[in-house]
Amino acid sequence: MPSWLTGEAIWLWAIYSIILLLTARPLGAHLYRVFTGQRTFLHPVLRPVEAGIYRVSRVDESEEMSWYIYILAVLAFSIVGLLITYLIERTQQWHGSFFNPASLSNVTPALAWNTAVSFTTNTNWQNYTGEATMSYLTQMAGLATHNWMSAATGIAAAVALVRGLARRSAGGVGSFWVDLVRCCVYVLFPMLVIYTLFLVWQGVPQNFNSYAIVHTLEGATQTIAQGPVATQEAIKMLGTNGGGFFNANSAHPYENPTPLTNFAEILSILLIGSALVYMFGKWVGNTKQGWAIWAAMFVLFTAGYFVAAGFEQNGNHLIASRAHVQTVATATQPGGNMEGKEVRFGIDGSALFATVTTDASCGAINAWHDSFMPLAGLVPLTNMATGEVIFGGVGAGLYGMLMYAILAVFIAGLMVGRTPEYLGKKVESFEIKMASLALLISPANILFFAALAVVGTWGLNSIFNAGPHGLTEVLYAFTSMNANNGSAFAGLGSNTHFYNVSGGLAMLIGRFLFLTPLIAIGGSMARKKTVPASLGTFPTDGPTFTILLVAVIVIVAALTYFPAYSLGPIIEQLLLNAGKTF
Amino acid sequence: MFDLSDLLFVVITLAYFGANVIFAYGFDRLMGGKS
Repeated sequence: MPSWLTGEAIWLWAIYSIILLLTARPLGAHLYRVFTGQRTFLHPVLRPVEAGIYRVSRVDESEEMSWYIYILAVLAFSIVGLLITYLIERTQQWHGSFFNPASLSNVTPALAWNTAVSFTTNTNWQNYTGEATMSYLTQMAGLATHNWMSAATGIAAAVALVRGLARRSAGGVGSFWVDLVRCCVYVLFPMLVIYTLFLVWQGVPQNFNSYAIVHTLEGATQTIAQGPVATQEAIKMLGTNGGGFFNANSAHPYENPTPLTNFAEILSILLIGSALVYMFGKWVGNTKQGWAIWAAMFVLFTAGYFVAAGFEQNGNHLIASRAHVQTVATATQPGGNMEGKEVRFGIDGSALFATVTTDASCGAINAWHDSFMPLAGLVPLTNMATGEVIFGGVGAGLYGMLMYAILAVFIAGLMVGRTPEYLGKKVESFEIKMASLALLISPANILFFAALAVVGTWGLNSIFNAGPHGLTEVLYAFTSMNANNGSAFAGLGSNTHFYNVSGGLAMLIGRFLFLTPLIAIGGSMARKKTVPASLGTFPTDGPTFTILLVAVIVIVAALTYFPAYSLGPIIEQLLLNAGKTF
Repeated sequence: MFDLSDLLFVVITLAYFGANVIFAYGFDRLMGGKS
């Protein structure tokens, strides 16, 4: 076995992949039943709750929305949630001793806005230290609530697009309110109850106690933060939100206390995203359609993981040669690059977490990505830049991947000289315009704001590292915010007016402007009739389509971001090989 | 308690969402929608 690969790296990947595969079908089938309004095993208990919510909120369960009304509902729901969260943050000094036992002051306007946008958009980019900035009420009513709602909003949007693709000659794509309620009641709630209890069992706190003051063996005084952590931790991972209760996020022993919670947290990031792909296949009447996309996602996930784990295990040759540190793994020490990592999780547990958290729009971290080797750090950066379509954020991954699928059939159509078709429907100019627009929004958003940050002192003064590593820190920040990931590369002091405002705008654009043309595609496809397959139809349920889809994603990402990456992590790795570090 | 910065961020929020609605309306027109 080469020195950059260990047996642990392989079995961790293998066990993870098998569980992900085995859960996709049963959970995907449950999602299908939920969103098509069929009875599930949870109905005897939860149907009265669902019906009660409709009654109280005066929602007509049978309502059908056009795509335009659907997106208006998404926007209206989000703007109200955003402004309420902003208000909660700006008034937290009056939350009282029960909800604010640490007597934390009001959050400043720019930071409050950035945080409200961040949690509304499922990003959870955090320009603050949670335990030192946010009261318990803000954490629960503002942030954790958004963890639920933004996750449900993403899933609802994906469901609307899938419904549009599956329907024939239909005017509507469903009701946003019904999708939102069903997602919360039948999907998130039952899973989170079990998950929260599991975390509490493993040692994650769930209380309203004041922070504990303790005296260490050396005689120093230490403040130990605690609070209602388990409930927030569960939705943080399952809803691919990623915003930690504590600043150290999933590296903190109160958020992620054991190797078992580490594995469960990594698994829970992709659980729903993977199942949604199966749901898609079932909904369009051919599960092979779903498995073809699932396979493409799995190929990209596997490639990313082994690149990240390989470079981390290989370590920094300068440390080996100059400091005489053992970087080859042995039975008693992990070798490789352990800088910025929790010893409890090691290289593979950290590389898998970093890969998965950026395959999805999660953004939770259990190691500092800033400390990764340059090309290992390129993996999370690229994962986010492609739109996090590798299983992806809950909902966001599927609708992003379907955008690539439409582009892939368009390219295949050009090759054979026929009008492209997808799922028995002709893909015409409107769909290609919308898919192209969605594809262009992300790089325009990322590269514009990153360029703006590095041409003036407003952005440059916050960069802590020189040279290509500093550029990577800025690129990573805006890639993370655009992709609604929220993980920070670190090394960037982003709690400034410039980064709070530009980052807030990047998150809004990355979420809602990206989403709008994709739901429009759903609306347009729903109206179409199906056409019978012919000799010129490119099959989208087999391995050829999987390969084409992977190629399209890789080529588009390479063409779009290679110039920027060559000035960041790529040249940094080349300079490291030549003996220069930053 | 509140100051002009709060007003500014509310205006930015409303402006962004307003612009997004206009984009969506434009896409719907492009599709030939009847919204």
